[in-house]
Amino acid sequence: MNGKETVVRGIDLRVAFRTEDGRRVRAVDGVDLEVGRGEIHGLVGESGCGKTTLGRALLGLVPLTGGRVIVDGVDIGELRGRRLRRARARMQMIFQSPWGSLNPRMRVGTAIAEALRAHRRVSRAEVRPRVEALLAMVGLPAEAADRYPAAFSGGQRQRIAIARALAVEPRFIVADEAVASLDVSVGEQILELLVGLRDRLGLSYLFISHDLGVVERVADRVTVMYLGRVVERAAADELFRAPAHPYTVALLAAAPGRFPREVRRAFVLSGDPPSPVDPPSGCVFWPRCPVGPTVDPSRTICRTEVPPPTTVGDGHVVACHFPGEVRLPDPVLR
Amino acid sequence: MTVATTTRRGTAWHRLRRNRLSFAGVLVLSGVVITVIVGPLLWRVDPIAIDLANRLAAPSALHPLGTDIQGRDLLARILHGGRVTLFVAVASVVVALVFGSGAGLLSGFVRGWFDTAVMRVADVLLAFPPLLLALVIAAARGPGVANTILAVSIPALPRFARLMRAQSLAIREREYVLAAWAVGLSPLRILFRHVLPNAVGPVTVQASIAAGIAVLEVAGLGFLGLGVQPPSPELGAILVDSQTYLLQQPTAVLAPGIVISLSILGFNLLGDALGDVFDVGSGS
Amino acid sequence: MNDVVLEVEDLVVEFDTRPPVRAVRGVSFQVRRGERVGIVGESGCGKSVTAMALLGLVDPPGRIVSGSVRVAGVEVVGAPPRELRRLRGKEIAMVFQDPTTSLNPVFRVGRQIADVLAYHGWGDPRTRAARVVELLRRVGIPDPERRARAYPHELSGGMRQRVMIAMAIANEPAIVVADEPTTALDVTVEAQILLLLDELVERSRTAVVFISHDLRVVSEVCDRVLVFYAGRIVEEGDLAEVFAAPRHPYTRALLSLAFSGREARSSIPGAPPDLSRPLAGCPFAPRCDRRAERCDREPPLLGDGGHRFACWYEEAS
Repeated sequence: MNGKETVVRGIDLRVAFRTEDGRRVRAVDGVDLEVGRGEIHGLVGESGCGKTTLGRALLGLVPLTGGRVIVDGVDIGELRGRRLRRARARMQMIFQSPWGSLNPRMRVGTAIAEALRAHRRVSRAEVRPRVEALLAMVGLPAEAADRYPAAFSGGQRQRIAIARALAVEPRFIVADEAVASLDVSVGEQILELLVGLRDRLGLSYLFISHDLGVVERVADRVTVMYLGRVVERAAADELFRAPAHPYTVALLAAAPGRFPREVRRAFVLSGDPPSPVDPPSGCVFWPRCPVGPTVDPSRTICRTEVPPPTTVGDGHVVACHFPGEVRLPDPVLR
Repeated sequence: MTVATTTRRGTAWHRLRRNRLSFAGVLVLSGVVITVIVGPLLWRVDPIAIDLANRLAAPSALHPLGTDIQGRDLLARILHGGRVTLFVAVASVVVALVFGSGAGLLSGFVRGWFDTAVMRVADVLLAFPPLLLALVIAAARGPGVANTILAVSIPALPRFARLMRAQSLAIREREYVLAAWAVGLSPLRILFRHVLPNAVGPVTVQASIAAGIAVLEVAGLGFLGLGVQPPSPELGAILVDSQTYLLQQPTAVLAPGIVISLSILGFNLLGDALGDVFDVGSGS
Repeated sequence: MNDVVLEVEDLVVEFDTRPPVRAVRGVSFQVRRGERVGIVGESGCGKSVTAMALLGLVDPPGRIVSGSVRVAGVEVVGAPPRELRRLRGKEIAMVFQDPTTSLNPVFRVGRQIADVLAYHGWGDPRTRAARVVELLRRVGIPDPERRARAYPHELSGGMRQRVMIAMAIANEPAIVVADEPTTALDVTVEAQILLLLDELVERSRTAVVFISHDLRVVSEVCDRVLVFYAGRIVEEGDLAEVFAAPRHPYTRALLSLAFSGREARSSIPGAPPDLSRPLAGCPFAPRCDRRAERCDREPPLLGDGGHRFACWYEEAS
């Protein structure tokens, strides 16, 4: 943490669902997370790994089945009613789809004003200038307030969603695939906006993405999830330079355009990510692991015991019985 | 920045205009409605004044549709009767719409035991054929305007409740609703500002179709003597009176029949039109 | 030149919406046998519309205004539906983005592949069944005899995309058009599918037209790349050459966005032009940092040769 003040901390977070046929799915299974002031914390993993659920659980949009969320030193679980809503509003969310995250029947200005007035008394006369100031902050003209979301492009809608989130003056924002559905050039503009807001307002982000390139671009630290658990966490440059968990290695090798074909071929994982309905015993990664018991049958520990988080470097934690065995060559950046 | 010039309403009106049949439906329905509202103001003949000297008079300038067996002016009776029938039908739909979709909206939004309770009641109501249920209620409560509204609206409740619940369930999972929770808005505000406006489309379509059915049911109850009471004219009651002298005065049967058919047709076509306007099905 | 399997000449596609949108504005290119060509560009650049035009699948309100598309020497534009159906699957096949919606949920996957074979008169039922198993094995599906009897919903997204690829290569067409085939997949599964496409092409003479918004993905599977912008090709050339020395400022910006890692990169301000209006000059001019007066007046032409680009500035220098 480099001694920086912690804004949000999740301790042993757990979220379980029941599927329609009554089976229990542990979408998030004992995750610890700390995000410092001004930090952009990347969260990566494949679909079904629980990254979206974790982000929503932090904000209380999905009920926790275990663990605690502490915001600015206050345990949210001990608050009720209006105080809870106010504490939660210190954390905001930006969603993937700029088409789904705005109410199509509400003018942009109304949506932002509604957020402005959710927790503070704002006089009628003050609302309009504040809305316009928020729009300006995300690079949109004041007239945007009078239009419906349908009038805007994807990038502009994402800016509107950001303005609405900023209206409640949050300290922490969960950006869930915030640029995934945008074109690269537009996505880059949004990334620049988010980083700029961090610098200006001291915001912190949990930046959820499946795209390692995007995470590498903005994150200070990165957490890698697989099947509801954290498998590795490190400072971004360390994680991309020297990943210690075989799954992280495979993710990096699979990311298109990073390595020559021969490297990809050597590291590509077989099979699909398993279903969280029926996770493997022990280390959840073992059935696909290139150094696990499917390759070396003597490594029975992987099938029987959940690997504990092990520190392998400064702030570099990995949950693997045999960390650092798979190593990547240096990436070739074109 | 590029901003579209058309407003939401502008495009809706455009879509309505594009479909000629829907447009015709709206015209027919407005014709019927305007006639029964404005008609009695212009044709100021008393619909219940008995004139035994002029029984079953043929259509003439004095009585454009002739008179019935008690010498009452048929045009006045149909104008007033149509007004009563349409009013009672629309009122029942409004009652069903408000209470049915209100319950559905809430049960989809809060879920849990409330949802279960609402849906079980809806299941029970759906188990009876609507007309039979209406008959039973009308028979038990006796005739009259208020009881007819009750008898027609109760069987319509569950359809509105189910439809609205499905909408409510789907919309509460939308990201803009999650975003509203994240911003810290109160549940009531989320329900009325974010869920309701986006859920009403299919229900209005259903309301329009239900209004057509309600016209038929109100007239049906009147026909069976369980609806609005004489001497107050009502289309179903006029029909049942006049069937005995069908051959002597055919307009007495034809005219109310035509008004009933046109209203039902109009409501159904309006339902289609609303479906186009709200783009029900494509989800946008 | 007789090994050209796809020839597109001055293709123009318009959508009769209000206002009408000219999505493809004079596109010409060729694909040779066994060649792997990537088409990259952002949404609305005309890449997917072009792909549909290759298969004669432009439906109203879309309309091919002018130009020609020749697949294995046969003209697709204006061809009768019968002729088009014969071409599709036999000479040109397509792999779509979403394998969930492009397979019929009520038929077993083996049957769907066999149907494609039967439609083009391949073998008899018994040899077809064997061919289906062989195809499934070729696309890397383990236990293909059993999987042939599976319904689409019983397979994962990656497996379904493999089935789509098996279906596309069933009749050994001259060209496979793949429109964002890995966009809906997870990273590790995407890597598997890209490697599969790579291997398949190496072993056959099938050409691949690979459409993607992601230059990084294109770099994995292609020999040549076409960069689309606002309905036009702005740069075309050998992949290695374009990547090493991009000539068009738009290509340069895209490359920088795709490959610069943590380094500072040049973002592109603004948005692509409105395609419902005519474009007087260079479509990229409003976003270009090297814009000159001439760029607003005259559209730059795509030059000749192996590495072509449409930029006045580069020509002058």
